[in-house]
Formats: sequence, structure tokens, C-alpha cells
Amino acid sequence: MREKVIGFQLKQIAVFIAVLLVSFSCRKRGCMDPNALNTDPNAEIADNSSCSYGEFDKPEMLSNVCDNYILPAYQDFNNKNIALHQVALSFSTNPSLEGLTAVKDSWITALISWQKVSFLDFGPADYYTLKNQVNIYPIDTNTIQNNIILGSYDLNLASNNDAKGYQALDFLLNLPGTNEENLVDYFSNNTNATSYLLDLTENLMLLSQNVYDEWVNVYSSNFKSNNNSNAQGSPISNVVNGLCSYYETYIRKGKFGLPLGVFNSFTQEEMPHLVECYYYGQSLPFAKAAIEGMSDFINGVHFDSPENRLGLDDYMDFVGATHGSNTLSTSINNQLEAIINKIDALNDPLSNEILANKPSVEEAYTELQKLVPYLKVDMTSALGVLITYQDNDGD
Amino acid sequence: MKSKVLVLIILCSVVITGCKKKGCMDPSATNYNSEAEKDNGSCEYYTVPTDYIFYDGIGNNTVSFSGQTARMNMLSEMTTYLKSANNGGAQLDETTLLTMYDNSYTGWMDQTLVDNGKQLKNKTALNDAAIWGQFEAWMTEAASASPPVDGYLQAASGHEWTQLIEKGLMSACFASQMTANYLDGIMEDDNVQIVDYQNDKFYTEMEHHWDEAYGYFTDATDYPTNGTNRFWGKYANNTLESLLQSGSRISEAFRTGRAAISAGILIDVPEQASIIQAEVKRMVAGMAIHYLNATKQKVVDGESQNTVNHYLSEAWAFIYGIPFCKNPDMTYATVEGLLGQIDADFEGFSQSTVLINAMIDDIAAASGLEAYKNDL
Repeated sequence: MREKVIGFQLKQIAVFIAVLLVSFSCRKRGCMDPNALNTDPNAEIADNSSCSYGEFDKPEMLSNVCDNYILPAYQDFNNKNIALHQVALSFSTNPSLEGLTAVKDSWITALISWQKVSFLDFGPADYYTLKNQVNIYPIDTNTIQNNIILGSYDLNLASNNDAKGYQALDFLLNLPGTNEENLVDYFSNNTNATSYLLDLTENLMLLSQNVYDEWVNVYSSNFKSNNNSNAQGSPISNVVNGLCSYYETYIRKGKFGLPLGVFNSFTQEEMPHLVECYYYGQSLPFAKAAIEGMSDFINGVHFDSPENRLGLDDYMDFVGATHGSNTLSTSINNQLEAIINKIDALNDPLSNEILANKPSVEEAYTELQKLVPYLKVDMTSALGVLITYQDNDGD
Repeated sequence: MKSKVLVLIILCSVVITGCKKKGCMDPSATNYNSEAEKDNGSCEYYTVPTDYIFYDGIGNNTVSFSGQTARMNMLSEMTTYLKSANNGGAQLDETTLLTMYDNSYTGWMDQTLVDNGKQLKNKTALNDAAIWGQFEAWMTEAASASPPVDGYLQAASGHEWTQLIEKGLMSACFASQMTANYLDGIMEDDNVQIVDYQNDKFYTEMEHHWDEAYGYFTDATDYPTNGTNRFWGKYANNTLESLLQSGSRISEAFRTGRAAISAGILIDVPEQASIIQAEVKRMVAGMAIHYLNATKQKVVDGESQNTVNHYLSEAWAFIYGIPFCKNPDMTYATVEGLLGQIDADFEGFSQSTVLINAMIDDIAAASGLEAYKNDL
């Protein structure tokens, strides 16, 4: 009897030791989220349910998106516009086919860099009315031609907003009815046109400089340190409002909805001439760049590397925002991916595709439309942000 | 012998310690004892209420700012009348406007305003007759203009008189009276005598002047639950609240200062008066910047020039108001220079982001609002 008891105890101990051995031989589990307070550097298996976050570190998130996305993106935007102006200057002193190609290439690069900051539509961008001065379309070709003929104009006047910027350059660099050689001749023989080209690139350079400087010298310090509520006027409110309104109006509607005819009253007739870069005939790379930029920004990804730190996605996760069975951040990311896939399925010129392959463009628009409530309804309510596109001081 | 000396020393020290008077030594405490030499931790402090409600020791309400509310009502009615000429309304009457201004008017909707001894005019710009003349000239001009079929009544230049008069008087009358009259002279006021016990004036002169300053900020004692529907109480609670905390800072300083006065702790009063004076300056400059920003926005949104002029007129009037604050951030001459830039070509100015931003930069630099100018 006594031996039996001892035998049983031995057995128990053996099992216990075995279990212990097994658990030690297992690879180490632990919190592997670099944003958590208790990130375990030795963990080999992610057990992120053990992560603890404490209060959401809003200043940390704002610092990350500011230092690692906004500032480098605006710096890049500024650099690309400086380069564009330089290339345009050399072309103006010595017009050539190579020079023209260089200007066009720089123009495309600069316009891509604009897409990456376009949705940061608040603060300094608002102050300088940036979006209205750099990329308004459709442009007014009559005003452009009149300005060139007169040789006298004030590009700072709002009345010239649709006669300048990237889309005015689209017109000048892809002048309808001219081939590239004719175009070189056109600039060689028309000093007013060359001056206008230079004034446009200079204007872009100065505007990009203004906004970048304002961010660096003044705006960023308040933006990063602000840990107030998300009330109107707070950085989170500004970011979310700028992002939502820009996406809704200038990406979804401006890049696709309007040319597709969705907003064309009862007729819904296509208006293909309203696409971005109508004269160049390539619109999709720019739309895609804007969506990709938004995706990086929302996810707290660095502008110039794939490193992913605290972003709006983490904030939404932190407050437990869900959409259906998914987290809201997953839903938003899935939707952004769906949009990219639909854009990839389209062919430029978009103005042609709208007429020749309308159902595909409509499919893309449908996916673009689906993102609106995710951002404007779910994200804003999760983060306690009020949509304030309209001035509410009233009278 | 030695032990006798020791006893003496001990005795002396006991006597000396015993003689030191104990009490509260903090001058901000309600039981401050100026004769106390040793603080015994007995200090008591006045409390700051969450509403602007104050009673004397036996429960009489000591708060009264009915004269200020009356002037707000006058400006509200005058503004409503001015706006009646918009959108195809009727021609304005010069006499009506001028008599509303000096309250010889008898047609007030609120008949208690008739002959009540209060007027906007003699409280404008600390009796500067030249400024009175300016407001009266705008009233005369507004009355001589034909109402538009559509939109706001404006001068050919683009100036909208309604905005110049309403927003102008918010500064030249309300902010001026608050900061440069009542708060500026508050420390010279008597805080001992009850003004008139027989006629329910249960307050001291100092309490009453502080209340009158408050009455130019808002007409509600439970601000910001109420009192956010017009003038400074309204503007302080919108963009200015979210960016500069104007509404909460000003109302808190008013309640704190009033509590200090009623508790007789006058040492705390100047600080609260200074907070209000500084915050009011930030409000005036902040609204000027806000409406300059709004002007740019209306232009890029493609609004009509009439609408754009409306916003620029509001900005114009708030800029005009800057020098009427106590220790203004900009002198009257500086402000005249800025307004001259707009007046040279009102509509042309509205169309230029560069010109507008240059002016915002000037105002922001003078008022210390650089960090907020983008978001205002």
C-alpha cells in the first residue's frame, strides 16, 4: 500500500518534469508587437494577446506620422519641384528634344510626389490653399493661352488657379495637335510660352517650399506634442478631416466619379475630358500613387522605408474599432487593396477606358465608394472625431 | 552657577517660542493673519464656483450686468435690422440706425430698452468721437445704398457695412469696455462699501465693475451651457475654444477674480484681470486670422464675390478692432496701414493667397499666434 503511494507520487513527478521539459524546449512566446509597452525582444512566437499598451500614446503616433511620413514626404515634394524647375530652366535656355523629355519626366515625378502629400489637406496645406494652386482640373486652356499671348499675369490670383499647376503643365507639355519636335519648335519660337512654363514650375517650387518650411519651422512641434482630446482643431481631428474630405472629393469624385459621369445629374453621361492629365493620356499611375500614399500614412509606414510604426490603424485597433467580423483597420486595408486591384485592372488612357470599358471603371468606382463610410463614419466615430468640412462659425 | 545659567537659557527660549504668534501666513488665504510669525497650517481659501453666481453672507445675489445685456440686445436688434436689407430686402433708414446707436430710438422690439439710459455710442472707443463718427458714417452709407436683389448689402468696393458695424462694435464697444475700462481700473475700485442696500445693490463697486466686464463677454451666468449664441461668448466657444481655449480660460478667470474680490483677497485679482485682457486680445486677432483664412477658402471653393466680400468684411472688422483692446498688439496707425492694403483693392486682395497670408503673418506675429495661424 505504502509502496503504491510512493509509486504514484513518482509517476506524478515524472509527468510534471516532462511537462516542464516540453514547455522549456518550446520556442519562447511573448509579445512581439514593437508598439507595445512590453515588447519581448527574445520572443520567437508572437503571443500578442499578452501585449499591454496602457494609454494610447497619441504624441508618439503623431510624432511617427509627422517625422517619418509627413516631413519626408513634403521634403520629397519640394525636392521634386526644385528639380522640375531646374530642368525647365535648362530647357528654356537650350530647347531640345532631350530637354523636353527631361521636363516631362520631372513633371511626372513631381506630380507623383504631390499625390503622396495631397491628402494631408489641413494646416499649412490649407493655409497656402495648396491643392487649389497645384493640381486643379479641368484647366482653363483659354486663360492659359491668353496669359501666354499677353505675357502679363499674376499667378497668385485665385482666378489663375485653373491656369497653373501640374495640369496646366500637362496641357503645355502635351499640346494637342503637336508632336514632340513641333513642341520644341513652339517653345523655341515663343518666348512668352517658355516664360509661362518657367513661371508655372517656379510657382510650384515656391508653394512646395512654403508648405514644407511651415511644417518644419512652425507647425510640427505643436502637431506632435498635442495630447488633447480629438475635438475640432486638434491634430487628430485635422488629420482625419483632411484625409476624409480629400479622399471623398478629390480622389473618389475628382479622379473617377466626375469623369465617369456619376455626378452628372440625371443623364450620368460620361465626361472623359475631366480625367487627371487628360492631354498626357495617363491618369492611373497618379490615382494609384495617391491611394498607396494614403495606405502608408494610415498604417504609420515610413515615407522612404517599409518600416511600420504607430499610425491611425493602431489607434483604431487600440480603441477596439471593428467592422463586421474584422477590425476596422483590417477592413480599411482590405478595401484599399481592393481599390488598387481594380485600378490595376484598368488601362490608360482613362478617358478612353471610361467610354470603351465603362463597367470596369464603374467597378473601380464602386470599390472607391465603399471606402468612404469606413473612413467618414466608422473611423471618425471610433476616434471621436467630428466631421467639420464646413466652417461652423456661421454668420 | 552653571546650572542656574542653563535654567535661564531654557526659560528664555521657552518664552521666546511662546511669544511667536501663530496663524495663517499665506496672503491668498481668507484667514491670512498679517501679524502671524509662524504658519500653523490653518490657511483657508475661497472656492471658485463653476457658474458665475455669487451671494453675500446672507444670501443676496450680488451679480448684476443688466446694462451690458441691454447693449448686447441693442446690437443684436441693430444687426438684425441691417441684415434685413440683404437678399432683396427693404432700403435701410438712416435715422433708425443712428438713433439705435445712441438709443434715442423708441421702436425697439424689446421695449425695456426704450429710454433705459444705456447706449452703445457713448461706450464706444472710450469716448473717442472720431470713432463714433466712423460708425455713424457706415450707418449713413448703408442706408443710402440700394439693397441687392440677391446676396449681402455691400458697398461698390466690397465692404459690407453690417459686418463692419457689428464686428467693429464687438471690439470698439464690448472688448474696449471690458478690458480697457472696467478691468483696467479695477484695483482703484472700492471693495468695502455696499453700493445701495436699500435698492438691492448688494455689491461693492469693485464687484459690480468686475460683473459689468463679464457682462460684455456673455449674458449667461452658466457659460458655456448658455450664452454662446452671440458676440464674444459665441466666438470664444467655437474655433477659438478648440485652439486657444478662449472660452474656458476667460470664463474661469472671470469666476476666479470675482471669487477673490468677494473674499477680499485682492492680491489675486490683477492676475485674473491680466489673463482676461490677454485672452481677449488673442480672440480679436484670432478671429481676424480666422476670417482671412475663410476668405481664401471661399475663393478656392468658387463662392460668389459677394460671399467672399462677406468673409473679408468680417476679417476687416476684427482687424479694425485690434487697437481697442487694453495694451493692443497693434496700434491704430499700424492697423490703418493693414486696412489700407485691403481698401486699395478690396476684391483684388481677396483673390490673392499671397497678400492675405502676408497680412495673416503680420497679425500672427504681433499677437503671438504663429503656431495657430494655419488652423484658425
